[in-house]
Amino acid sequence: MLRYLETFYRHRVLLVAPMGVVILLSVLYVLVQPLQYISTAHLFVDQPTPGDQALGGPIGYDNPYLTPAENEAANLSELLSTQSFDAQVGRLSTLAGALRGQALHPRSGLAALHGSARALTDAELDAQLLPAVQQHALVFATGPQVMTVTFSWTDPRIAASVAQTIVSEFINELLLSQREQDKTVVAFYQAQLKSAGTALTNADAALSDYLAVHPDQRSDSAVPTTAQLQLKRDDDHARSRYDDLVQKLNQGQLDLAALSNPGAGGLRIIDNADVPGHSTLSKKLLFQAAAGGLAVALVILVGGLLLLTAADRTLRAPGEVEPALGLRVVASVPELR
Amino acid sequence: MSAAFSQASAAAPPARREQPDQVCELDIPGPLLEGCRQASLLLGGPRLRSLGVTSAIRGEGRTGVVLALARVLYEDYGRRVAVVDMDLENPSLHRRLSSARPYPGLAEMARGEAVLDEVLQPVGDGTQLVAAGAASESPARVLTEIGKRSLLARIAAEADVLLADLPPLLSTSAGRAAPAGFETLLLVIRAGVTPVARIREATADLPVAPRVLLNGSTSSLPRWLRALAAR
Repeated sequence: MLRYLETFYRHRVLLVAPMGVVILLSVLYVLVQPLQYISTAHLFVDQPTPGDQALGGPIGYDNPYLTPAENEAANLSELLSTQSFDAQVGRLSTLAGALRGQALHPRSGLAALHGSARALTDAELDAQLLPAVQQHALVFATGPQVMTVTFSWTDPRIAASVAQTIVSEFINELLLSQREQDKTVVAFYQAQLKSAGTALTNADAALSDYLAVHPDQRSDSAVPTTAQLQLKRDDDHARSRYDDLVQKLNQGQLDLAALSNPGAGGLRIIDNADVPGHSTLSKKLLFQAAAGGLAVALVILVGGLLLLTAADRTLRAPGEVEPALGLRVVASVPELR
Repeated sequence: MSAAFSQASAAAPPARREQPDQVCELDIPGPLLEGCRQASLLLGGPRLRSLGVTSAIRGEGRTGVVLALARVLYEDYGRRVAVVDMDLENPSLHRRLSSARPYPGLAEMARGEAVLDEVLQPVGDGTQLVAAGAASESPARVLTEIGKRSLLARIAAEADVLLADLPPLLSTSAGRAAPAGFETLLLVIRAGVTPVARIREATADLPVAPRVLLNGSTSSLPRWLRALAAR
């Protein structure tokens, strides 16, 4: 331990100077990065009620260990990892335009050097949109029923546009399957109602024809015959079925219409994505850079110290002589020339 | 003194006015004197008869230690000291004292060209110096002659203790032969300069295990930190 301390004090400038340089470089690196603007949107996630799953409420909410907001945040994070969703978000927002513009007028890099800028193909644009959206979007639950979506970019307007598009496209994805299901139900019941209407018309006509042939049965005091009773029963049955189908069709149409209302699917936008007014030279990033630089600097210090101590094959103190040489020390004096 | 050496003396360089004449006038730093005091105690103190001071390589501080020991042995124990410069390739003892002559010395005695009275130079109270002289042949051969003629014993008889400034063990051809005949050896090691491997190489096969004087063992740590680390 003493030997390492001695080595450090002897070469303190040599060991400490690189540390200062590394820390300074890491902080400078952060400071020269382009400013980032963060736009934030908040969503309210409804608590699921019994029967919500049947109606296609918050997707997959059957995990009692996660809050609704955590569940939906996980779903959105999964969607953000897919190229199709990110490409859609990018194209619907102003991000795609910004990336196309960057490709045509690059500010830095080889393309700028060579002057070889060109327009992006659709496939190239989609390939760029995936990392652009994925790496700059952040989704997390800030409460049991509130989730937050943020997007950071060098342009505040683009940040706001993409954040808002992420939120709206997420809601659309949720509603999409429900809407398709409801449309199928309505179409089914419409077809069923048509055939039921035909059956009812036929039953009414059969009863009317029987009464036309047997006018004495029209009287209220007349004793109905077996045939008449059967026809009456068939007519009642057809009418009952028709009414039932009408009710179900109405319900299906009502559900389909309800999907157009805000809050359908269990999600509501509480705060739309705002255009940030100031950048966030993230103190966190600065701190991380300084900490990272310090960690590297410490590694350099320790490595340098170990190297210098190991490379020092001389004797420095009287206590080192006997272990190294097996000889007794009779005296030690300050440097004599 | 013989005619040859009268001429040699006449041709000798003029005395350096800035150098002291005597050992007691040398400006030896206090810590060095204290260190040599401690060393002399552990080396036998008043019972010490002969001591060869050597080092692994040149520049370790042998000559300074020899002169400091000579002063300590006289001042503390009242002993008469004969200081012999046996570094025939690069003699330096005589350069520390303005009154000292480079020759005649040990080499001339070995060749039979000078007698003991001619080579013994008084350089202070109780201290006499025998310079290395001018070796006209290989130092190893001169040392062999010294051994054959028992010159060191004859010099030692003129004093209470014989102190020899031996040549470095590794840097010279006669380095390993010089320590023979000394009952006590002191190895001067310069802290932070001489690699351990070189010291091991130098001290392998020595007739006597030398004691060590560490030269330059100052710490760069602040005192408080040294005390803390030592706990």
